[in-house]
Amino acid sequence: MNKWIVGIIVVVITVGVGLALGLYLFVAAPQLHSAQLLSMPKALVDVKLEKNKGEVFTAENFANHWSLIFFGFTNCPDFCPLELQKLGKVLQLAQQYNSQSHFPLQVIFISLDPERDTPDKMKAYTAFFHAQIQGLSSSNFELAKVAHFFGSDYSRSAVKAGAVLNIPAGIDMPGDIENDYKVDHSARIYIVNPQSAYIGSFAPPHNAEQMWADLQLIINKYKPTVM
Amino acid sequence: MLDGKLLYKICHGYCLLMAIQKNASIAIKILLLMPFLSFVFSASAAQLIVEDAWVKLAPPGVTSHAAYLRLINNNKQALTITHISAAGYAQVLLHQTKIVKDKVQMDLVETLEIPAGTSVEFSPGATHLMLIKPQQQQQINDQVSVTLMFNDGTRQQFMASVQANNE
Repeated sequence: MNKWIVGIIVVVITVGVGLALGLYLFVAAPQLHSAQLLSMPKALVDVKLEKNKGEVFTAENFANHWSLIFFGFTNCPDFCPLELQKLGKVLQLAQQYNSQSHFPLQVIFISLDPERDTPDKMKAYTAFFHAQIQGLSSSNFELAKVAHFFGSDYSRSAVKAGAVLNIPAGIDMPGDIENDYKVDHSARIYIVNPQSAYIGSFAPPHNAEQMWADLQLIINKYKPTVM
Repeated sequence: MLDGKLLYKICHGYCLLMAIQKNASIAIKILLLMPFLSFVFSASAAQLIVEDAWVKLAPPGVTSHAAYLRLINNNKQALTITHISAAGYAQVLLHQTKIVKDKVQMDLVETLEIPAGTSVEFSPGATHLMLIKPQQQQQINDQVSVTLMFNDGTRQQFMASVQANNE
């Protein structure tokens, strides 16, 4: 009889401790705010972007950095400045953090409007938000490849002779289109790890403090790989 | 406040009366003044309350940037904005930023009706004034004169201060 009672007590205690531990881990474990991670990292291959005139930016430039990538264009009056301001703030927060404990963070703004966004223009534009934001672009063909890799949908459109003309990703802007055209682009901010692999993205709406909190969790998760 | 439309009607009635009384010279003078009177008194028609109007400081070299504000219609009738202009800019468009399936798109708002007793918020990442082709690079605390034009021909002017917000 006593053995039964002892057995029941042991089972109750074991189940209770297990439940308490599970609940503690569930409640106490920090949750990601807006970062959404891929089930498998996707290695960056064959990236050919241009930083300054003639200066190529490839997959190797992502190595040994945590990278945040945002696609947009400089003639974007509202959303892009707002997002670059937030990304500048994330860079500031990262720089206050002990940089010895993780790979440095780099923010990359990729213009999807190479006809208007020359390297010089990109340099002045990105520096306005933070001196270390890197402005990149490329040919329309290369841009479409990079955007497609991240699943970042975009297109451009102009009004010509009273009708809307859509210029799909990868196609050069026709020469007879004036400067007034718009670019619809992804609202996501993409994350690349120090092994040059795309690992996830931040879904909108974005908040600088929350993005940095999420990044710290992600960085700590990947910490064992830091040499 | 003197209603512009009412004054216009009074003047028009007076001119007709003068014409009937064959005092045509005075009537013609007043008739010639009518468009001017209409313009002068149009500003005293129903107005919106404009709050927190500001222009976001733009990066160098951009050909468009945004302005934000709050418009409150405390009148008894709806007001419809049909056109907007700003001193120092080639064009102003009313735009709405939308995120549809993770994609940012900017829709043109051709006219904006503000029903009686309601307000409209223009804020970053949402509805905004798109200021196109600035004549010069704006600096912090510069003032931009913006004019709203309504469907009844009246207009309203206000100032928006250039600011670098820290959103």
